[in-house]
Amino acid sequence: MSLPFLIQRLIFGLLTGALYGLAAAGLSLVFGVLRVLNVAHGELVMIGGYASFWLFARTGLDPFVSLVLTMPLMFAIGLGLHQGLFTHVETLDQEPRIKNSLLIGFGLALALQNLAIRLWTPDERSIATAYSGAVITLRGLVFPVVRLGGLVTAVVAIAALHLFLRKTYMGKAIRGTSQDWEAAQLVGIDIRRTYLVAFAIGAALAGAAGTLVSVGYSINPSIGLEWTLKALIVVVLAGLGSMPGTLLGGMLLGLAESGSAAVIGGAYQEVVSLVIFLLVLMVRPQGLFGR
Amino acid sequence: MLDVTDLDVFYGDLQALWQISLQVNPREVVALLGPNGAGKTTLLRTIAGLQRPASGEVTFEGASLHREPAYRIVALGVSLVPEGRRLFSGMTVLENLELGAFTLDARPQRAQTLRWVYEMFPVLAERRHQVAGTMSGGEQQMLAICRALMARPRILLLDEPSLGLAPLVVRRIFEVIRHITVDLEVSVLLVDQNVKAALELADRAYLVQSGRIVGHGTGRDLLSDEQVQSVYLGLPSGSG
Repeated sequence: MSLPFLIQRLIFGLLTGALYGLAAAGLSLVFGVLRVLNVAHGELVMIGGYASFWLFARTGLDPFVSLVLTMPLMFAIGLGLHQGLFTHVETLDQEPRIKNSLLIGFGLALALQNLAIRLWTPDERSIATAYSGAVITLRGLVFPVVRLGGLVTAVVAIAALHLFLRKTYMGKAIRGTSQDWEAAQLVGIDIRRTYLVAFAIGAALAGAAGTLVSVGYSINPSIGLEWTLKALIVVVLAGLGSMPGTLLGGMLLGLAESGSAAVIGGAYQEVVSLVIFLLVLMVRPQGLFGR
Repeated sequence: MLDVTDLDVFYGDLQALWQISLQVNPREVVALLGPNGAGKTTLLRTIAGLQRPASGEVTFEGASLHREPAYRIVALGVSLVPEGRRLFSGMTVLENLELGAFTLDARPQRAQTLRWVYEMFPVLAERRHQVAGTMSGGEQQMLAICRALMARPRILLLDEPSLGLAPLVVRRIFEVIRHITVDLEVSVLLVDQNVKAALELADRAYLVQSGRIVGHGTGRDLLSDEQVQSVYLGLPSGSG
């Protein structure tokens, strides 16, 4: 195996990893603030992907442009899902909250999968734009344009989220709620509203990740679990509390997967990410960048 | 100003407070004294809206509090500094103070209150970009009190502000409480294990035992009360 080949694999890994980071950011936010693991997060990625696919197929709208429609749409879906499903478990004690939220999440995942099969058939779909096959070549290394676009989108979205959480009153309220929900109430924060907003932002980020998956890769109704798993591994790897850390964690996972695929073969790619998952839990349970 | 009337509070099947009634008047410091588990913390949490009473009423300046959620009670002028401080420990000193002024009424006054806080506690100004959880216990307690003051409350509920602090720091905390009541015209309802200091500071005090109020008087009277001396101050009865 040659060095340029390895570097090329690592570049692909980094580009995929940025998507892992974006998919994980929403999960991390919801987990950190609501203390609820939304196992249907990957299905929200899937729905976001289909939303962009559908817009492209019907109107020819560029997938990157369609983000300005799909992200608000997913935000609204997030508001609805939270008010309809998850708001009932937030006030429970830790154990029933975790159990019930898992049940709700798995149920939601099944429902969304079957809804997607009904609406869009089980076929593999991908958005094929005019520039889908275009690449930038630099010193013999290949950079697919749509995946570079995905990287830029992920970085911009995470930077925007980071600034929102650091600079705005609502963002600070969300961070405060995630650190101590009782103290948050004592300074006048309506924590049910911060839960709602955090969940909706998480859904919007999942949707954005879905759009990037549908244009850079492909989607079908059953990709959800895979993305939930990837996002969960990144959340464990990066730890809670830092969005740039989550993006970095995603990129690290992408690098590890592609590096191991190049060295020991692609068959073990999933094994490698799960081994990372276990190692981090054993050695550094708060994650690389966690508080 | 603050009126608690016939309050009953349960934890599940267990009754924690029985028919509690008390008043705090404007600019008054009132202490709640009693052994661990007497229900003092429960009472403060119920007033602040973190706990729901089974029956009874809490009113503040005529507004009824006992059905309001905690976040709205802050906006009505009642701030609790909870036991154990409960800072946003991963956020900076400044961010803690900013969140203290989260209510819509407090936000326009944020800069002004912040200036008062920094003048009163220069150490918080120096450390405003430090992560709150990395400060000393005394500094964290000051920050917790200041975070509550940022909401511009008219009454401050303080739960064990001197717990676990060195004697010198404890003295400073009590000075600060006195200063707050004078300077910001804030009433104080105080729970503290430091009975002597609390009675010296308080205008009045209530004695709480097993969820009931068993005594009441001015700070000075209770300080010289024989029973209080033997039970709360650990002096042998009759020793003066």
